[in-house]
Order: sequence, then structure tokens, then C-alpha cells
Amino acid sequence: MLYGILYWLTPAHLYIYSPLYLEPNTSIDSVNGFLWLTLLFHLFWDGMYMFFFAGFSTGLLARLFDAKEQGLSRDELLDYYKVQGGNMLIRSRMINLERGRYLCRVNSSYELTPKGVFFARAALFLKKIFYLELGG
Amino acid sequence: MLENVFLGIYFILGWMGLQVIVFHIFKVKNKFPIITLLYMLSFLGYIFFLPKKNIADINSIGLYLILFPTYLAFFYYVDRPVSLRILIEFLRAQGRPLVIEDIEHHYSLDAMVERRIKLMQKDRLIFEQNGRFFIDKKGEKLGWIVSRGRKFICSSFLTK
Repeated sequence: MLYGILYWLTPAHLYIYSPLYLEPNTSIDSVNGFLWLTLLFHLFWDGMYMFFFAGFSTGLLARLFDAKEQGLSRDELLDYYKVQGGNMLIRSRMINLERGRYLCRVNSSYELTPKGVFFARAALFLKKIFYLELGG
Repeated sequence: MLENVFLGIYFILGWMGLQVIVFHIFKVKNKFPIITLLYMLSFLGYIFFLPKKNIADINSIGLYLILFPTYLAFFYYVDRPVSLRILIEFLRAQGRPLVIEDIEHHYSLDAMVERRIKLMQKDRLIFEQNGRFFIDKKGEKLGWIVSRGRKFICSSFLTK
């Protein structure tokens, strides 16, 4: 929305471009700008999530970086993710999946919602296309 | 300008299709080098076949370049996420309700960490010595960015 407002408010040359560099068709110009905005926005948040918020591999890397010359054993790495004998990563993801309505709780167990079934099937389909294992 | 965009779409689709064919024919395990190599070939082809050599080419080439990291992000979001794997485990249970322990049994923490360790060792980000893991020279810069970034935005509470 901000893009739309700014596009409407500002001149096409943005006070820096000469007419030679301008796209004559304003529809194409605006769609092109919106595409750039979408791709950059998407990339920025992909990077933020992967590196700083939710990346499991980057989390391991950060721990090894913080350990410096002492390094970490396999058990020490595992201990970071253990909580009450269970797997903290899975437990935190299950909470998020329930909150996002991919899973629903039935007493102490969980079931897939239709939204969860859709995403699970889409993931399996894409994994087959890309010749990937179950992963995760 | 639109000619450039359509040509770009053809080349991107060709690149994506070709890599899928290569993955299946050669049963490729390490996919990143194949993705990168085929992308570079497609990029060179795209530049070569650009119809007009004008200012719009800069925009088209920029879009073509930015599609590569976007595609990689998509690819790794299919391959790596823990959440997707959990959903798949539910699908494999064929409607049977599961408790957290069932998921942990099929998708163990050891396997999750082991896979990451192997991948980071293969990428020479970390190395193993006497049963302990250390950050490698290549991993130091990335480790610094990630460690400092996580501390800076105080995100460690979100996930370990």
C-alpha cells in the first residue's frame, strides 16, 4: 500500500532519472516496481528468519561460534535442544503449528486440519519433484 | 521491456525444468552445485539472447539475478523446515492422532542435529576433532554475523 501511495505521489523520474531511462508505459513500470518490491521484501524476511529468527542450522553455527576454541561435543549440542527429556524444537514448532491452525489438539494428541493436510501434501509433492528426502 | 521479461521467464522455466530432470536422472544428492551451474549457464544464455541492448536490460538482468536467491530460499524451505516434516509425519500416520512423543520417535533430535552437522561439515563451515566440533575459517564470518545478529535483535528466546 505504501508503494502505491508513493508511486502516485512521486514523479516518474524521481528527480534523478533522465527521460531516456524511463519506461513509457506506466502500467508496465508500476508492475515492474511492484515485482522488485515483492522480491526484495520476500528476500529480506527470508534472510531474517533463516539467519536470526528460526534457522536451526544457523542456530547450531552460532553456538559453535560462541564456543570458540573449546568447541562443542555432539552431546553438548544436543543438550541445547532437550527439554524435560523431549525435543524442544519439535515442541515449539507444534505450538506454532497449532496456533497457525495446521494442527488441532484432541485431548493430549494432535490431528491435521484441512489446512495442514494441504501443506503436508504440497510439501511431499514438491519433495518428489525436487528429488528430496523427507528432510527437516 | 516485455520482450526481456518473457525471455527471462522462458529461461527461468528452462533452468528449473532442466535441474529437476538432472536431479532425477543422475539421482543427485548434493543439489546446490547443480542448481548454481545450471543457473549460471541460463544467465549467460539470457544475456546472449536479450533482444535489444538498451537500458531496460539492466532492469531485466537485475530481476534475473534476484530470482536466484529467491528460488534458493524456496528450495530450502521445501527441503529443511522442521515444521513441514512434522506435518508430513502426521500425513504418514494416515489420520491417526499423534502425541508429541510419536513425532519425536519418528523424527529424533539426534537425526536432526546429525543431518545439520554433516551438511555444515560438507560445506566446510565446521570441522570435527577428537569428538568435538569447531567452527572452520569459512564458517567464522557467517558465525559472527549470525551470533551477533541474534544477540542484537534478542531473538534467542524465539528458538534455540
